[in-house]
Amino acid sequence: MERIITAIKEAQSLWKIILCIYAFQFILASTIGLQMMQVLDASLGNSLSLEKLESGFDYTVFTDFVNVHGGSFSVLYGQMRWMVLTYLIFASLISTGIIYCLIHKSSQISDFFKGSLQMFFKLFIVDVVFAILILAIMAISFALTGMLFGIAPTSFDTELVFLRWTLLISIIALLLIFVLTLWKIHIKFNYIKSDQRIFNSIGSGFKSFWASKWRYIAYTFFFLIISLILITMNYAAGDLPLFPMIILIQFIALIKVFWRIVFYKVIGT
Amino acid sequence: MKNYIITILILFHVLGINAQCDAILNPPQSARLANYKMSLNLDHENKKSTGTQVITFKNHSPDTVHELRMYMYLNGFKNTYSTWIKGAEGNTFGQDLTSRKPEDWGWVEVLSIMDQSGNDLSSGKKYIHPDDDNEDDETVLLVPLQKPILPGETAEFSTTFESRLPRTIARSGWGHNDFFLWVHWYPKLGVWEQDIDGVWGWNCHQFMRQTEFYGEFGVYDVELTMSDHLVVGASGCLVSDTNNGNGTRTKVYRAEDVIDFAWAAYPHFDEIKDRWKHVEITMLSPPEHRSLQPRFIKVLKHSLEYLEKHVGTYPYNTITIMDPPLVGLRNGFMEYPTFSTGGSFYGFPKGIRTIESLIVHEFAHQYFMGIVANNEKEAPWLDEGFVTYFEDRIMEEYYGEQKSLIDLWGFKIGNAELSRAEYTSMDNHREAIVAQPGWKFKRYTKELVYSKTGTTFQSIRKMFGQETMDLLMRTYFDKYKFTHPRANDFLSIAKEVISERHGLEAGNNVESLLHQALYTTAVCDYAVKTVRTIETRTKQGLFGTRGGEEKKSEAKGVKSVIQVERKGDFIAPVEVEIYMASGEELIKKWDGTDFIKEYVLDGEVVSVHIDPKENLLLDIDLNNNSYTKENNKDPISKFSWKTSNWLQHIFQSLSFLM
Repeated sequence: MERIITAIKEAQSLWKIILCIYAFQFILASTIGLQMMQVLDASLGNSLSLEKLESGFDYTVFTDFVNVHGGSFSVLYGQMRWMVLTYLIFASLISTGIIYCLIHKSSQISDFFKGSLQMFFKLFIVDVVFAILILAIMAISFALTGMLFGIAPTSFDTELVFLRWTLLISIIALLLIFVLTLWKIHIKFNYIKSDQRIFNSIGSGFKSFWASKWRYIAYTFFFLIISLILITMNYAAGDLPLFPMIILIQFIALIKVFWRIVFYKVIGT
Repeated sequence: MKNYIITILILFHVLGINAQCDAILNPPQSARLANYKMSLNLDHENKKSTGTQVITFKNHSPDTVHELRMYMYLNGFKNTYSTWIKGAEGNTFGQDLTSRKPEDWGWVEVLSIMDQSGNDLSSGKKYIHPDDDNEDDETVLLVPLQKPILPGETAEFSTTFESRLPRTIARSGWGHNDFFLWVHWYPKLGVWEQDIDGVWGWNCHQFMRQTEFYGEFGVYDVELTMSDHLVVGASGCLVSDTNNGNGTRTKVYRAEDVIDFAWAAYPHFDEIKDRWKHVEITMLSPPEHRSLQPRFIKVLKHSLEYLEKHVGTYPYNTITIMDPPLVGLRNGFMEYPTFSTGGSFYGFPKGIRTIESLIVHEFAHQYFMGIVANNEKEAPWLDEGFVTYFEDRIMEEYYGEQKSLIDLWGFKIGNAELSRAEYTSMDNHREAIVAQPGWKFKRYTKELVYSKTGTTFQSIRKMFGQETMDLLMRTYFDKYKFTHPRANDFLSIAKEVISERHGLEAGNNVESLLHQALYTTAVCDYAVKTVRTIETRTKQGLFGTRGGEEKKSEAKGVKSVIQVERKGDFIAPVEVEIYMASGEELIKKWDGTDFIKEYVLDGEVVSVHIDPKENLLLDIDLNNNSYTKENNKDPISKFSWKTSNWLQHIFQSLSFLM
C-alpha cells in the first residue's frame, strides 16, 4: 500500500504530462463526437422524438434513426477504426514518455517528448511484438471458447461445464496477458534506465519481473479493479443532467490517465 | 370404515397409482373427430419405441373418405434429402448434418395397419409428396381404404408402429444422459376438411421448416412404459403411474380436445408443481436451472391471468413447462397442447427477460393454434402473429412498457418495441406478403409473420382502444375455439366488431389496414416535409383609380405553410397535431391518401406531429413524423459527449497493448 501511496504522490507531480495526454485523447475523440453531433442534429434536430431521449435511451427512436441514417454511422465507424489504429502508435510514444519521466524524476513536458522520441523506434518494435502476442492469446482464447460453445450441446451434460472451462480459459488468458504486460513494462524501464541493448533488456526485464511476479500480478489486479470501478462510475454518470455529466465523465477520463501513471510507477520501480 | 380406507390407500400406494389431475373436460369442448389410444414401450438405450395405436376417426362430411393421409413427421429427420432438412438450407442451429452416424437419424414407420373389419391395409400404404414432389421425403403417408368411410360414419384403425428419435436436430430428439423429447412421434391423421373451393379432402402437408401444426381435435389416451429412472412430463393429465416391478414404470396420460400429444423424459428433471385456479402447473427443469424456476412459474401465471381476462378461460386442467437441459436446448422454444418447452441457461440475468417472453409466447400458442386451431402451414400469421401480439401485451402489462424485455444497467427495450423494430429494420420491407403459406417464405419469416402481424394488431389496439381489441379477440376466440378458422373468418370478425363499436367508416379503415398489412407489401411512412413561415403584409401595391394613391402595407402578418407527406404506398387516415405560437392546438384529420398535403395557417407554427399518439406503429420511421423549431438539443449533446467519452475509454483501454 505504501508503494501505491508513494506512486500516487509522484504521479501528482506529473500533472502537466497527465493533462497533455488527457487533452490529446480528448481532442482525438472529440473529432468523432462533433461529427456525431452534426449527424444527429441533421437527422433528429427538429424531430419531437428528441423529447423521448431526454429521459435516457429510447430503443424505438434509436432503431428508427439507425434504419434511416445508418449510413452516416458507417462513415463514422470507418473513421473510428483508423483513429484507433493511429492512436496505438501514439500510445507507444506516450508510455515511453511516461516511463522516461518516471525514471528521470522529471515533470517537464519537454522531457516527456524527448524521452518518447529518443526511445520510440526500438520500444515501438517491442510494443508491436508484445501487442501481437497479447492479441494472439486473446484470439486463441476466443477460438477455444467458441469451439467449446459449438460442441457444448452435444458434449457437455450442463452449461456449467462450459462456463467452468470458459472461466478457466479466461483466467489463464488474463494471467498470460498480465505477464506479457508486466514483462513489457520492465523491459521498457530497464532499457531506458540502463541504456542497455534491447535484447539484453528483454532478458533483464523478464528477470526483474519474475523475481516478484505474484506481487506484480496482485498489483495489476488491484489496478484493474479500480479501473473497472471508474468505468462503472462513468457509465452511471450518463444519467446525470448534461453539464454535471460532462464534468464527471471528463474527470474520470483524467483520473484514468493519472491511474495509469501510478500503475507504471508501482510496477516499474 | 377407517380400516377400509387405509386398505384402499395402501393398495393405491403399492400399485403406485396416483390420480394426479382431473382429465375429464365436461362437456366435451370439440367435435373429437380423431381420437387416439396408444401404448408405447420406450427402449431408452436405442432411443427407440414400439407402439400400438387405435385411431377412431369420424367422417363429419357429406363425402365418402376413400383413403387416409397421415403425418409421419419424424421422417423429416431421416436423412439430408427430407423436405425439412433441404428447406433448412444447411442452417440447423449450426450443426453439420453431413457427418452424422446412421444411428443419429430418426424415423417413424407404420409396421401394420388394419381397419375394424380386419382388412390389412399395410400393402397399399405409400409415401406421397403433395407439396414439392420430393421423392425422398417420407413425411406424408397415404393409406388406401378397402372399406370407405361413409358420411357420418365412425371408423377405427389399429396400427403398430416403430419410431426412433434422432440425436436432436430440432423439435424431436434425444441428447446424451437420456434426455428425450417425443414430438411428431406417432402416425397422425391429417385434417379432413373442405378446401377453399368447397371440395372435401385431406389437408395433410409435408413437414416443412417454417411451420408444422395442423391437426384434428380428439382425445388422446396414451400409455407410456419406460425405465423407472426417467422423470416424465407430457401433454394432458397423468391418470395413473404404475411401478411394474421390473425396472420399468407405466404412466397413463389422457388429453382431451387437443390436436397433438408430446412428452419428454430425462432422469435429472426437477419436477415442481404449482396451481393457478383450476390449472395444475408442472415445471420440469434440470437441477442447474433450479434458480430460474420461480421466473417460469410467475410468468406462466401472468399469462394464464391475462389471457383469461382478455381472451377467454384456459379450458384445460393442466399445463406442463419443460425447460430443457443444455443437451436438449435445440428441442426448446416450442409449443404443443398443454405442453410448452422453454430455453434458458444457468445464471440468466434477471434484467434480460427472454425466458419470460419465450414462455408467454409458447403459452399463448395454447390459445392460438392449440384451441383456435388454424392451419399453421397455410396461414402461419393466424397463430404466430396473434401470439406475438399477446406476448407483447402480457410482457408490457406485467414488466412495464419500454423495459419489459431488457432492463439492465439502464439499457431498456420493450417487447413490443422489439417486435416493431424486427419489422421496421428489415432491409427490404417488400420482401413478401404476410398472408401466404409458411413454406413460401425464403427469409424474414419472423419479421413478417410474427412481428409485422403483431405490430399491426398493436396498431389496431392503439387506434380503437384496449376494450375494443379485447372484444375482437374474445369474439374470435369464442366463435372459433376448437375449430379450424381461416384468415377470412378473423378478418370478417375484425370488421364487424370495429364497425359495431366505432362505426362503419372505422370498420372499413380496419379492413383496409389489415388488407394492406397482411396481403400487400405496402410500406407505411408518413413524414413532415416542410414547415415554412411567411411574412405577409395586409395591403400592398396600388389601389383605387389610375394615378390614385399608393397604399403601403399597414401591418405585418405571419402565415405558416406546412407540408406533410406520404412517402410510402400504405394509406391510412392519420391525425396531424399542430401547435401554434399563440398557444392554440389544432388537430387536422388527414385521410392519408395524397402524396403531399398542405396546410396554410395564420400565425406561427411551433410544432407539427403526424399521428401524435403513435397509433400507426407500422410507420417505418416515427422520427420523421414530427417537426419543431424549438427543440431542446441536450439529448444530442449528451449522446455526442458520451460517444467521445467512450472513445476516450477505448483509447485508454487499448493503451495496455502498447
